[in-house]
Amino acid sequence: MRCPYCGKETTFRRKVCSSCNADISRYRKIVSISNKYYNDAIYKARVRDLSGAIVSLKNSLQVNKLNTNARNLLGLIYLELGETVLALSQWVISKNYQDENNRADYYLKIVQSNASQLSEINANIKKFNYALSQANAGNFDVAILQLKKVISAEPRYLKAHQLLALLYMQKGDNEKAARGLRKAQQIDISNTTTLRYLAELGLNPSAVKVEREIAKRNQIKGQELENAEEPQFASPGPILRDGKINKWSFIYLCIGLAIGFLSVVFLVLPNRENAIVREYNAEAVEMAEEQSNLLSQIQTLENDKDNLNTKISELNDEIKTLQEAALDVVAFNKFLKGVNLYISGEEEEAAALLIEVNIDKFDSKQAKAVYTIIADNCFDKISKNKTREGYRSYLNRRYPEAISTLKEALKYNKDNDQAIYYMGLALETSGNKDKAMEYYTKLVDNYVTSSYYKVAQNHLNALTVE
Amino acid sequence: MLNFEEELKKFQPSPEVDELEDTIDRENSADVTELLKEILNNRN
Repeated sequence: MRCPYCGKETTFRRKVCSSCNADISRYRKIVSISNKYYNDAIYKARVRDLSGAIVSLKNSLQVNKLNTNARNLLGLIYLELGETVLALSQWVISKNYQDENNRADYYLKIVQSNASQLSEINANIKKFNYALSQANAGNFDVAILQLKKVISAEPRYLKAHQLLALLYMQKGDNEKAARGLRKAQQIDISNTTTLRYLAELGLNPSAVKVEREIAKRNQIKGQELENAEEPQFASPGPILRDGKINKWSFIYLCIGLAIGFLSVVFLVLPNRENAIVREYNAEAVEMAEEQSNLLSQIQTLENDKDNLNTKISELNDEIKTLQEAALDVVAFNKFLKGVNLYISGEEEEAAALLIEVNIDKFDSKQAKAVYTIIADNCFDKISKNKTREGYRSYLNRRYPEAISTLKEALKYNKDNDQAIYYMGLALETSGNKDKAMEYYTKLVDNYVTSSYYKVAQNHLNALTVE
Repeated sequence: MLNFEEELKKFQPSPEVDELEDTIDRENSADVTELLKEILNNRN
């Protein structure tokens, strides 16, 4: 025992600390009370009254939380009830208070040495919590299936047995509930929840105690028999009498066999079949539920996808509108610049800007009118000038320059028949006969009254013959 | 007669491994010896 004043080890029997001479009689009484509770817990745990032992150990620790023996035992009992995390927490606290010569070391090592085992335990706890949430949500079948898995992995999980029994009781399956509660009672004999449920089912809560007594007696009897010098067996009635088969014994034997066979056919097999069908149905329910969950997830994802697609389409439209607005602004600035140049007499520069502007996109009627005036005044004039320039280049055998200038001329006036004809000539002479034929054909097809119609026709005929 | 809903409410989720720290904090409360020490210290 440690002195509460100086913290040094002192003899429990002394009323005064051997190191600092302080009066430790009151403290000694408290530690003694804690130890009494601990001893009480040991007796209870030995007869599997685990709930009672937990109460005693909690009392012991409330009096003296440094009682590491009590704490270690509490951890063991939690482990026995399937509450691994509570067990670990007790041992960690115990180790914190007593670093050396502590049994908690051994327990912690056993549980933590196998990481995969710890992970499985945790997964099982999660399954229990999920089952509980499903039960609270009214999905009793799912909860029952989960709890069965939990119990299969950890048969000592008391809470799982009790919850499963409660769910069976709710479903009216009292037989299964009773079986589960008996198992729970084998883990913890006097748990009040188990006892209340058993009483609710009209069963004798102390039946397990009685069964255990009987089992114990049988065990003792068996040991006595084994120890006896001459074994005592209860002898059945003789089947052989005077070396002959007893007739009545043989008949009874046959009747017994027939009854056994019939009971297998009419009682055991249908029950077995029913059990298989029930199991199958339960699995089908689980699968249907999983399928339904998956379908709902798929539906949600598809809805999300549709919503996102709609949003993308809306955003694209918005981008387009914004781009058009931006283009309109650029085009309008270009238009204003062109008008300024025209006013200042720089017609060619003005036309070069204005020809790039798509006036149809402007809403303003005034702007359109101004554009039309300038276009009428400039575009045709510039087109004719460019045609002359192009023709001069053609005559000087600068065909690429001629073609480029004539393209300019057609940009300002696409109906300039002279430019079309010269373009045909420049292309033909530079060797691009196919392209030349396109221009001649354009002239012949669309400008019948043109003075270049005939010559274009002649060139076209000559090229076709070639 | 048991009330199923009420009984179900009594079941609490078991603490998981990643909740170990919180569980330790909860389980490690003050005891009578600490109270006694406090009383003795106040007297002195």
